[in-house]
Amino acid sequence: MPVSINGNGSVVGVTSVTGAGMDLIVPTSVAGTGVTFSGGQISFTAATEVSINGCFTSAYDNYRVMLNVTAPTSGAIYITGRLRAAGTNAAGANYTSAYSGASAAGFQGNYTTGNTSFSIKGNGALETPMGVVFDITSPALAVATGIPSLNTFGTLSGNNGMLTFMQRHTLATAYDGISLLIASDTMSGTLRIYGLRNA
Amino acid sequence: MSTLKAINLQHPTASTANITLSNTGGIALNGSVSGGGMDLITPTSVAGSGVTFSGGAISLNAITSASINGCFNALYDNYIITITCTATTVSAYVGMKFRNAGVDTSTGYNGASRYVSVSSGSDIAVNWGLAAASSQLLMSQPAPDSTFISLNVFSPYLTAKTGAVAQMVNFNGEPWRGGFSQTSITQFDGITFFVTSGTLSGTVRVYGLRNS
Repeated sequence: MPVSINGNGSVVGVTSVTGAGMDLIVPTSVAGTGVTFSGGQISFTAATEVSINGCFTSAYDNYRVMLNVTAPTSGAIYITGRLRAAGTNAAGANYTSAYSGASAAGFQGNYTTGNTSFSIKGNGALETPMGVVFDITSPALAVATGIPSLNTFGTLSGNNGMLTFMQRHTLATAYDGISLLIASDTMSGTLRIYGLRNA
Repeated sequence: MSTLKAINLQHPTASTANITLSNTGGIALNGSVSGGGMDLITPTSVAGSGVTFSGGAISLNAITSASINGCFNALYDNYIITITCTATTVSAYVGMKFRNAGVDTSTGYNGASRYVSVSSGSDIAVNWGLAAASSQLLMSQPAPDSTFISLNVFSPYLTAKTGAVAQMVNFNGEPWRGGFSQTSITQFDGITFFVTSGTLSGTVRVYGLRNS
């Protein structure tokens, strides 16, 4: 029964609809302690690394990632990401980053090259990045990968801030996965990857 | 391959057709289709003078405040809201408050933003509220003309803090981006947009991002 129409109006069992613009991606596998997935929802509990395999394919050029982090356990956190291929992170010094932000501390901004990962959440004390949205352009194509992002975070004392990152992985290499890493802490939350239809 | 020719497909117990086909290639769905990534949400109701909705398109006509009810639910954790402001009568901020059961929440907001001023060439940072001190969230600094806002909302209907990030460009071409939080863990089923002075016209759409 590939397709079923329910009495409540919903149509289920459809894996792809011509004319839609975006699909929730189901990875082939995940890796890392405390990392699980059900359909396209990737959940992580007290994880230090969240690795997602098979989420980038030739079916899509570009992707949108929605990350909800609900609970770092303590102290300053710094969440980064790495592209990965065939289960191995791309950890070479090939990431370039520019960012600007605003918070109770005022302006922040920087430009760096030769990084070994891209930034998802900047370093700061007692901050919970409640929501991060970032796009990944052309990860599965053999061209450089762009990663623009925007996130909001609140501190445990109630302050708030925002950060905009414009980042790039400079190698013309195709990747099929991504890893999130957290330094000196653990993180819990959910992550979903949506593929933007090519045509 | 055989071809099934029909105009309407309907479940035997459904009150209306689930799928209606037009002779120009259009497919109208009364419900949702699994397998996609994002759904346009039809609110349960709207409130405010000049606010109407047809399906998922919420029209604003010279409004001072527009409340959208029932647009957040348990089906989705995260949402994208597009706000196309075609006209404001004066330079004013676009604000928002989360709401539940028809009542706006007016405490516990934080926000920070940066934008580039075309007139001064300056990159300007603004902290709208700190330490949960604000009664509302303010987005953009629009010229009295078109403003386009893309707003991502995280976890409004979950029993968790609600976060939001927004990107905006106004008629002057001034880029603006902001991050917000609602520090309570209240579940919100709706949102209110308003302007701090004058009136605003335009269209709002709320999209739910599929959970799984």
